[in-house]
Amino acid sequence: MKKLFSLKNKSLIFALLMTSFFAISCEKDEEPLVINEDETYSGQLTVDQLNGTNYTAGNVRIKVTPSATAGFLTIDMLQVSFSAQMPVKLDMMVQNVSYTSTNEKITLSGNNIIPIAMGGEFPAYTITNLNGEIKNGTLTLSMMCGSYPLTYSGSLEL
Amino acid sequence: MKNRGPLLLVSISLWIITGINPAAFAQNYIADTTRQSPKRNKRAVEKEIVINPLIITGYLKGGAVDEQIASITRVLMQKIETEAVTALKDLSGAVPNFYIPDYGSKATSSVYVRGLGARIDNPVVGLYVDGISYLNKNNFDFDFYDIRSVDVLRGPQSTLFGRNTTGGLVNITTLSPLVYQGSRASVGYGNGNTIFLQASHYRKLSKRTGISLGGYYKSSDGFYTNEYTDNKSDWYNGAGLRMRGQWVKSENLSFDNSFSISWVDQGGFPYGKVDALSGDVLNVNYNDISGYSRLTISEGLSYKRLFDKYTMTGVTSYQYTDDELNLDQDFSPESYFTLTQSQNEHAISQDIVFKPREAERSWRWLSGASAFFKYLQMDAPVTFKRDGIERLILAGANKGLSEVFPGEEILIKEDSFVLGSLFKTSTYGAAIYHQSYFKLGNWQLEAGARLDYEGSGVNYNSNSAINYLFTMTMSEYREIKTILKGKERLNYFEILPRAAASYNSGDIRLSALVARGYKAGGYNTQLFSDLLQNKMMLDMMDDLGVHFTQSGYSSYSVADVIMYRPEYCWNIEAGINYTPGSLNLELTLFDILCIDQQLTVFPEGNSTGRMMTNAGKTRSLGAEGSISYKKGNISLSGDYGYTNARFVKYDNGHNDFSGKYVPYVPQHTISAGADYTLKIKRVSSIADLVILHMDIKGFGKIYWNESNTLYQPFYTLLNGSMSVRKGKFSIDFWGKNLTGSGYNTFYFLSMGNSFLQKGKPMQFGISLKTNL
Repeated sequence: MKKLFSLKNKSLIFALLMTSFFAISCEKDEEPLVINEDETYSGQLTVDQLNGTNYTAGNVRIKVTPSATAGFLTIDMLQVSFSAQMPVKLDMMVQNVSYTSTNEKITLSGNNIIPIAMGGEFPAYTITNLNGEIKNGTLTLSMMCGSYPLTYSGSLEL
Repeated sequence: MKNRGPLLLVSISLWIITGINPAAFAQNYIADTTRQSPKRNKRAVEKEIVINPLIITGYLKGGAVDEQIASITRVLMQKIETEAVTALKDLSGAVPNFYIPDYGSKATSSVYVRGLGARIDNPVVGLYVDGISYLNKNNFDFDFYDIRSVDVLRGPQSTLFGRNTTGGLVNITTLSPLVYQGSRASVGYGNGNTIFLQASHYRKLSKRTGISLGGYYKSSDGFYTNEYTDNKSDWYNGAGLRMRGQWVKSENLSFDNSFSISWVDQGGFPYGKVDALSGDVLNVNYNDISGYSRLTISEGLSYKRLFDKYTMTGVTSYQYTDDELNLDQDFSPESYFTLTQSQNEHAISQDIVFKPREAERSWRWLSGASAFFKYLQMDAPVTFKRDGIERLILAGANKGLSEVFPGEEILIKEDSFVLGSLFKTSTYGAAIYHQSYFKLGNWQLEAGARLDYEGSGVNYNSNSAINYLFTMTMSEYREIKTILKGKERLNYFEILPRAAASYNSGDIRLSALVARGYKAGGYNTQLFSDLLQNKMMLDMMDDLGVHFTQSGYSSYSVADVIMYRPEYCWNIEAGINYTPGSLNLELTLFDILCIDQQLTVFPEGNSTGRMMTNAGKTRSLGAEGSISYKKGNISLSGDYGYTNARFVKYDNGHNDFSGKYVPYVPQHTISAGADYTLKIKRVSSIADLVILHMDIKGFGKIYWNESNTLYQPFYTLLNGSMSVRKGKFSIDFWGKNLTGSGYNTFYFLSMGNSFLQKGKPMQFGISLKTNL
């Protein structure tokens, strides 16, 4: 026992502890970002009206929720309208959006997803070419909603 | 059509076989036994019977009618019988500025006095029958029989009588077995196959004890044909029983117990749609069952105790009401929606009054305390039927959707569904009050005040469930349940003062008074079907994830809209009474300011419903005049009321009606009558006495809406009767609206359509009476 706590051994233990500490620190820095339940973003939605004009709506809320299946999430677009002429706002859910995560950002992608709106599948607004990322508390999205190009940028609600 | 001919024949046969003597009451009128001042008793036509002061013959807290400084019209039994008054509404016009339109059913007793009135919830007039306080307005319209007197006090009576007396008070007294003994029976038949049977017996068991038992049955086929069913819509059946016992236990203690039970089962609501182009009122034409049934039980015990220096009078009463109202809410042949409103109410009240025994002192006073409690359980489901679902619910919901998704729509699976609403309401109150009377020479001064507390609470539970489907996205119906559940409370204290003065110089009496009255607050229970419908649509849209931006449905807080507070009125009036010789002349001017008035408004948001709230201020100016003259065999009377009631402030959320006339209030009420009594001097086998009566009553102009664009012009009704009396028998012929005047009694707007109820056509009949 005495030999075990010799100066040499003490130095070795200290070195091991320090190595472990830095190893843990390095592991934490490199851990991929995770999506918490019901993360909600608020921001600006822009829809190309295909007539040379864009429709822009502010304070549009989008909720991002991880799916039960790993690597997939659900995007809920809350009370959105896609043109000024639309007399109602819709809640639209885009399921099975795949994502990858690094320690810097989460990257979203999806294609040919039929959204859920108004009580069922809503093929008229089939989502294609969905791309996006979550980075530094900001969600950016771009997609084709039916035939309409749509972009979104919003900040995480605290 | 019910055939009641055999019943009538049986009744007449019984009358002949038993030899019941339908006597004239003219020579033995049941008199006003309330003590009257020597000078002013000229007003009373009837012979006075002096009775033991211990007998409780009525319950006028203010003392004898003629001693009070108040605008009072007393209608006695002779007039009630001569003018064939069968219910309180028949006194419209006979009392100046007193108007109860005859419409709907016996549940709809809308009393208007001096420009004040209420169609729903709390009335503006209090009603007492043999001292029993009628706390539920649904009971106000009951069939009269053996009514000894009706006193109508106009203007606020809240100092002595508390809540819901801003317009006045009606005090009804029935025959007393200690005042009258004998048997009375009558059988009557009129057009509309109307039958009335009544029998009663009054007797003294001893010098100090009297009992009475009376009952009636009435039926009618009605006067308005429903085109849809080809049957009369306003058929009627009613029956009642009244027992009264009076006991003067000792020189210092007496009791008076009155028990009555009555039953009503009727059609009603003969509303006709107004043709939008011609303005004509179309015939009644609706498909769903509409009617009203009611069972009322009243029990009241009055007691009077004389102490050395004080008199104590008290009334303990209980009233039970069980009624059901069925309405085709759209009053059309289509199946939109119906209402079934069942109420079950227990009400108890207690009132106790102390007065000094020395009546001739210069200072007299009256102090009292009262309390009441009532518990009402109301079940009021609204059933939406297919046309209503399509046009009232889905049309609105699909309007916005079809603009975005052409060809797609929401469907509701049910052919009908129920918006259920259950309310449990407790209302309670307590008060103490005092009034002093000072007599200084020819002057009489009165001053009093009441401290009144009232509290109430409502528990509500409204719910509904439907299955819906959106054709674009859903393949199966989805159930959606909507619930509105909660409770609210309301409490308030009131101080209700009154001051009056009069100067009596013999033939002339001048008087003036100022008084404050209040009408209780309450709950917008009638709004709940709309609230629930609104919430159901919101829940469905939320479930769909659809949110309207410009039109459609928006929510409003139940707590914000369910309650409304009391309304208050200040009444100032001045009058003159002039009684030279056989003439009696009365003239009164009044000015009433009503604040926090309970008026109907549109709630904030895009609701389709209407609710009561304290939205307005109204000023009512007017005059009342009465004249009566009796000379020999002729007596003449006239009553006139003028009311100019306008909104000082009233914005219903859509329009500002300030300056407009208050709807449903007649600007003029007129009654002019003449009686001629022919005494047959020679012995005649036909008659001893013939009494001829003729009167004309007039009402109007009556505005139907707040914007004053629709109105009923002034109209008159000619009425008459002839009573031929022989011994104890009499045969009466009577008629109402003898010229068949065309007029309307009620207007309302439903789903953009105007509806009116036509006034009853000419009515006539014959009555055979006895008084043994």
